[in-house]
Amino acid sequence: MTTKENRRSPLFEQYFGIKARYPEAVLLMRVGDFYEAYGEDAETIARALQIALTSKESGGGERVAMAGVPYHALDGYLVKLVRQRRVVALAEQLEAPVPNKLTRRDVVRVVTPGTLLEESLLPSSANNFLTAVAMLGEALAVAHADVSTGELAVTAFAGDSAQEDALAELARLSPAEAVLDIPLDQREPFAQVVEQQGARVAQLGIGAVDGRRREPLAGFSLEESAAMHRALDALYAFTARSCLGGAEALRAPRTYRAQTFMVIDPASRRNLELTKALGSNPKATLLAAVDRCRTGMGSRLLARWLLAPLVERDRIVERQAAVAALVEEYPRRAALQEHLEHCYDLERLAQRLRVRRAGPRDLAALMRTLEMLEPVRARAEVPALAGTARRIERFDDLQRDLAQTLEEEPPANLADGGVIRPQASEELAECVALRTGARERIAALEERERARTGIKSLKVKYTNAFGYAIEISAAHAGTAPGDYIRKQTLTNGQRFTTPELKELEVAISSAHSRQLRLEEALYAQLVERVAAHAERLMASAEALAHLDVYASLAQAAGERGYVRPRIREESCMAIVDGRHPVVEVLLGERFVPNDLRIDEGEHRFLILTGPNMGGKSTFLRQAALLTILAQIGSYVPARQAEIGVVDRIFTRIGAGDDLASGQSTFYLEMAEAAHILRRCTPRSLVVVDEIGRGTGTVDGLAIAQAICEYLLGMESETPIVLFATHFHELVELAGEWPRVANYHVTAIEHPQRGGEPVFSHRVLPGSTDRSFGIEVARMAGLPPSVVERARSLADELLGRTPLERAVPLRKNLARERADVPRRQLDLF
Amino acid sequence: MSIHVLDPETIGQIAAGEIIERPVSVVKELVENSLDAGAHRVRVDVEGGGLGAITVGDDGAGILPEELPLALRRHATSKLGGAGDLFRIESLGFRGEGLASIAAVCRTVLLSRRAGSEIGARVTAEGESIGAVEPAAAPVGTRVEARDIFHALPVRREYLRSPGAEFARISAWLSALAVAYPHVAFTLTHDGRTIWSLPPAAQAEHRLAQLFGPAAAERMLPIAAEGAGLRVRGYVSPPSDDKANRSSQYLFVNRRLLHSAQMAAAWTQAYKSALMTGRYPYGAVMLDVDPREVDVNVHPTKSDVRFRRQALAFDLTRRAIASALERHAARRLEQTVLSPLPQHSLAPGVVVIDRRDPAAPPADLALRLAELRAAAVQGTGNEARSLRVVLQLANTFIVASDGQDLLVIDQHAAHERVNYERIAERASRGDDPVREPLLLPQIFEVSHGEAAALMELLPQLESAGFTIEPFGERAFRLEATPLDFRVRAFDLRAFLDDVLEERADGTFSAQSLWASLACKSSVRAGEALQVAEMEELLRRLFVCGDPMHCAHGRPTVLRWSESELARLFKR
Repeated sequence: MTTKENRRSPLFEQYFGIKARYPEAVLLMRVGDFYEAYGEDAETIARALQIALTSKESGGGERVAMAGVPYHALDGYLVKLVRQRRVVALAEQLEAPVPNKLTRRDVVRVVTPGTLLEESLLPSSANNFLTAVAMLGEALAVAHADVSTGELAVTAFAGDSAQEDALAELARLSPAEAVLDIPLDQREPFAQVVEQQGARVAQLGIGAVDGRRREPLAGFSLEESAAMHRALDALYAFTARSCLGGAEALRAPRTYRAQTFMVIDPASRRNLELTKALGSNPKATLLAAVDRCRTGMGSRLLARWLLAPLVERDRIVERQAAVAALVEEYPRRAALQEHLEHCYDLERLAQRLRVRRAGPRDLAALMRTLEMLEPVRARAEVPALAGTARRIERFDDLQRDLAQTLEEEPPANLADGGVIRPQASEELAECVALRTGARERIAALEERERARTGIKSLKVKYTNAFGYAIEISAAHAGTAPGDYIRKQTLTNGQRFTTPELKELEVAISSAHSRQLRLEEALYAQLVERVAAHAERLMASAEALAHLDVYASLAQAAGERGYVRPRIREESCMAIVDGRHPVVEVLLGERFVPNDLRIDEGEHRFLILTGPNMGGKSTFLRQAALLTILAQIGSYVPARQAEIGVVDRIFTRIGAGDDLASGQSTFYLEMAEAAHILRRCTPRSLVVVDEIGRGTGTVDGLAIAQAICEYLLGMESETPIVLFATHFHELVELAGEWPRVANYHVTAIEHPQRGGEPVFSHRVLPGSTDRSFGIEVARMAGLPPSVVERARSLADELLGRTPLERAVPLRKNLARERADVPRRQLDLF
Repeated sequence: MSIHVLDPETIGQIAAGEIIERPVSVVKELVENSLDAGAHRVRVDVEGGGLGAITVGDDGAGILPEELPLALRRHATSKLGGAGDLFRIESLGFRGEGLASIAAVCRTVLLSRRAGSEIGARVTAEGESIGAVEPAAAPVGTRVEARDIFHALPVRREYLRSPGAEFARISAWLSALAVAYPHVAFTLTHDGRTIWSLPPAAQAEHRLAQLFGPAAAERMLPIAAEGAGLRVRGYVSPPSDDKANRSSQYLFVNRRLLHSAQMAAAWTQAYKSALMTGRYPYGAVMLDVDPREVDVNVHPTKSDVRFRRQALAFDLTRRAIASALERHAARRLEQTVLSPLPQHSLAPGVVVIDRRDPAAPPADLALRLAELRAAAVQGTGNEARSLRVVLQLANTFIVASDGQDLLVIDQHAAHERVNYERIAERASRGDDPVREPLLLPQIFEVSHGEAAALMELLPQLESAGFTIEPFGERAFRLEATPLDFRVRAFDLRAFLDDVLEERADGTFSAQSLWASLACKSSVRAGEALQVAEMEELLRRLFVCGDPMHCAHGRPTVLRWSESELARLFKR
């Protein structure tokens, strides 16, 4: 074993030496024009990337498995590896290769799903969070960073619900990768949430975290602060391991309390399809319905807002005012967006500068973006936007510096040359002049040689592969002078060189390499100078993102006919002709709007009955989505709207069996219900779309009714509840509780097609016991004999089941209408 | 064939054919219905340029279920009570032919709900057969789907143009109409994609900004005049700002968009000679008239109207626009008089227009070919014979007169036009350009991106008369230029910038290459010219096919007539 290793060639020694320091990663090492992997890693990437696995002589007659990718195609392969949640260590050549000498190589970057920086590996309109959870005594801290934007924030939870809250926060952040600084015996639920998000649990020894700073953070207890520091330290250690730097790679941490936002639990976030669609149409999300952002920064901010709506009325109204200013003044909005359109992702540009990984094109993009700042600020000069606009800083010196130093359209790679303007340095100008001079002498040489040889068609040609050559057509090739050295034979001529031409070529290439070295140095200096502004650039980027979101919401409001909701402190809701923001996009003008009224005190627990396909689910979701839109400061799809601030949204909406976790539908339903009953407050919005279906009818009804009674009997006040059910018995609750109001979705029988229901998609006061279940089954294509049998069974059952307490439709309707007269909605 | 009465189907098709000419007619009838129904939002979904389907949905009053079949019947309308009403029409539609005609030539589905009805209703129609009314879910308002236009008239279908062209008509008509209804939101989609969406405009000007762009809307001049039961209002472009055709002139009578040669003439006349030939003002002019003063029942498509007092309407419109222009001119004049005289009007030759960064070294890449003058081409331009050059202003403009009018000519634009036509003419004859080798080949270096682009452009530059070869990394050697450019300093660098920019924008074409060539080889602003040179330039300019514009469409000549000068002097 030892002898074998000793005989391995130096290259492999080097590779496996580096690999030993990065056991968690697949190591790709630059060798010439390829990034190569050997041994086990070669087998891994060959499988993962579907590339050829070969082997290479490793010394002493042994062969080692090998796989590699060309350097220029690296990005594409990295994307694939990262998507498979792998960690990749990239080792570069740290010096220019010299023949017969081992080139120095080392890892310059460890790419993990949570530490992506490269524009090519990242979606522009979504954040890519790296999170850390630290547990210390009773406290749990959750820190999150987006390495691509430098953003860093941390919060903590304590008390009975600490774990539940921390898990919810972790799920809300939907990280790409998470570091868990949690004792092994308590890790499981956290690891589970991370993996459910399709994210990677990063391996980081707890020992790697150092805990020096322990000063308490404002607004947090000592224990919470300590946990928060641990979480931050874990993040810093992790980014340092990625070779991006530790604390200096990120902005100063921001602390926040999760209670300053509306809490949307993970199941609701998923079921309401806020930023991710459940079905096949990726556009079927609330985000897509209102996202008209012109920059990636804007889209990311909007997505964050949707997942964490505000709960303070004043802040909501402030955002509304900003949106309103742009709704009412179309020309201002259009001009603002036109300029935003020309802004690059300033946030990510500034971050790449901060970690010194900005390429020449990044700086060129920065230059163009800076030019847009002034016009953007000028368009935002109205009171409602002025506060935001003021945060866009001025960068006159920086702009001048960039304009004087950087070529307007530099190549992507510094090594290609032509990045720095020759005028920026005398020495550089000299190199350029040398090259130009040499080229002119080559041109003169052509004239001279033509005269000397008497060959009129003699010509100096340049090709990328062979450089400069004297080309002589085949007819004259024989008469070439003796001092011509043949270089290449063509079909219709020959190419030669001469000592003088060679000399000039060398002069050009040495001037060129000197220029490259100079440019490299000048570029590094420029990056340092620009990076000094990183923090100010980020602050400006944030302001741009805000303006972008305001304009986006204004545009969506204008295009789709939204109205500005009146935000109320009271727990109430009054919506006239409300529409589902996502479904209405898919349906066009066919969507049927509905009213919704929730009062303080009475009339705040709506029981919704009626047939399947009647629009119950859409109506329920619509209420939740309108509330969320209103609380991020957006306009809402309705003719008039008044919305009281809600602290939490809970949904119990039928999801499929979670086969992966091995839990039955019924169990999940009950778990969700338990969560709601435990956590809801009088200011919450609870949306229940059927409950108790996964068990026997008696059990189901009993549970549903008990849940309702629990919510109605809550000590303080009942939350707003929208409860859709097939248990018609529940409508009786309205008789006992003034808080309960019955509503139903309507359908009528088609006059021509016997019994077939036609759904009006309208939600009206009163209840109905018509479920049209058998008719729907018939429409779905159940064989006629089955339908017939079902009909007669239904008649029989209706006659004798003990559960049958339903009041005939007409009678019931009449009673409801008498009980709860449709009051005129008094809105404005 | 013996004489017989046509069957109703045929009658319907013939009558419908007068109203429904093409997909845009369907859109027009349906959208006008929506507006008559008091819609605040109108959405038009088009499939396959309208040859597939057109759906117009609105949030208007809606139709009662029992009235749905009637709505599809010919001469059924809610908008006209009797013949007497014909002379006071306030709605856009009135004959009750729109829907019936659409149903006659399309497979039509009508879906509607009245406010207060629990559920909506749907009815389908095809040709003369109208289906049964069925209940259906619907928001308040009406939604009409018209599919397979002219499905029973294959000949008519053949006369339709490509889906793209038909869609363009729809888009143009609808966006124009939107000007008169700023408070209504309009959305247009094509094959599922939203093409444009106009939110309700808080102010009428905002709708103009939506259509003409915020900058143009800011420049436009409001017009207003009233008299004899007529009211004219709207916004028109200032004289300096014009377009190459009339397609952006929107004329409305009682908010009905129409084409009226008469009124268009009134519009143009108001500008008088402030407009160059072939250029047109743009904007929106709206006439509000007592319905009894106007007959809209002139044409089946209602695209023209007859005024009871035609001359009055004409005159009021012309005067409304003219006085807005006068106010504008007066304001401009005030500004001119009040502001101190600009320096260059005193010291000729100080104005130098140069697109390039002044910090860059002077034209190190530009090629200074031979000196300015070449032997004058023998040209006889009769049109320009009587023109006398008065002086060269700021070494940039030529001031000339024919004894009647005062002309100011942009020397660069004029020369560019002359050069462009020569290049274009030669190219269209298919002549191989005559090349002139440079005494000393020029070697120049470009950026990486430019080098790649230039490599691809080499064949086209070759056929335009340039010999350019790669000569090192990012370096090229220019060996010959087209012969014509010996006469002028040819700015190669600026030429390449132009061409590469056009290539990046995707606007590159042979014509744009000629235009760039012409531009970069022409007299520049700031160059002093001899009187003889100026006269020669004008002579050549006025034999050009389009002497009024440079190759890029900017004006070459401004002209003030004696009467216009008189007006400016308030005589």
